[in-house]
Amino acid sequence: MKLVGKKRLSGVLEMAVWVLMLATVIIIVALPWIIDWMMQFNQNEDFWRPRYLVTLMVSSGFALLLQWELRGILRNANRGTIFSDNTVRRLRTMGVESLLLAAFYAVMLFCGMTKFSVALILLIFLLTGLLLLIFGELFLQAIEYKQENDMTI
Amino acid sequence: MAIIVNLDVMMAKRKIGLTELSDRVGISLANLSILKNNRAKAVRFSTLNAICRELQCQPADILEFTEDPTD
Repeated sequence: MKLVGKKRLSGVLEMAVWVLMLATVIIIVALPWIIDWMMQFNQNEDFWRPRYLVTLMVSSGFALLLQWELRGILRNANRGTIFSDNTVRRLRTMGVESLLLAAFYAVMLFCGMTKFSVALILLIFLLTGLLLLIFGELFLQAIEYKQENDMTI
Repeated sequence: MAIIVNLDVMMAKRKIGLTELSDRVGISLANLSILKNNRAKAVRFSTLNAICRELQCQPADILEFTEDPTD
């Protein structure tokens, strides 16, 4: 079962990421109202409102950046150019963005957001960031092997 | 790279063009051009076999080693 190609699963996934990006932009714009709705279930609004707003705004922003790079990687896959410097650059960028997001959550952990979920998200993005950087290096090696193979007549 | 591919010399001797040779050996024109212009990194034995068969020559007629000062 072929999964890669414009009319295959990767093509569908690329479109899905576009839709997800649009949804993320809508969420970013609507966040203040969403937070207002959340606060009606929270007693300490003055403490939690700014923290929720900052955390979710920054997270959404980074989510948009990650989705943008992922869309680019899927586009490369659909064009048959997955083993390219562009993919390596995108993987490295995603790795750095994930690490920055983990650092942000670490800061929020010390700014009163002492929730288990915050610590869990921090750990997830820390591991994800490191793994993405490693995958970038692996892709670089794969490019070398591919070029060697392509130039073998 | 110190290995020189003298494919064009052999092709001239046998009076055969790149397109015709490409059709006969079953290698794409682009790949054959890469080989002819010394841009290939490696050659498969099967490719060498097909070329030597069509050009009626030995591998030494196509491949030449020269001392590369950069090596």
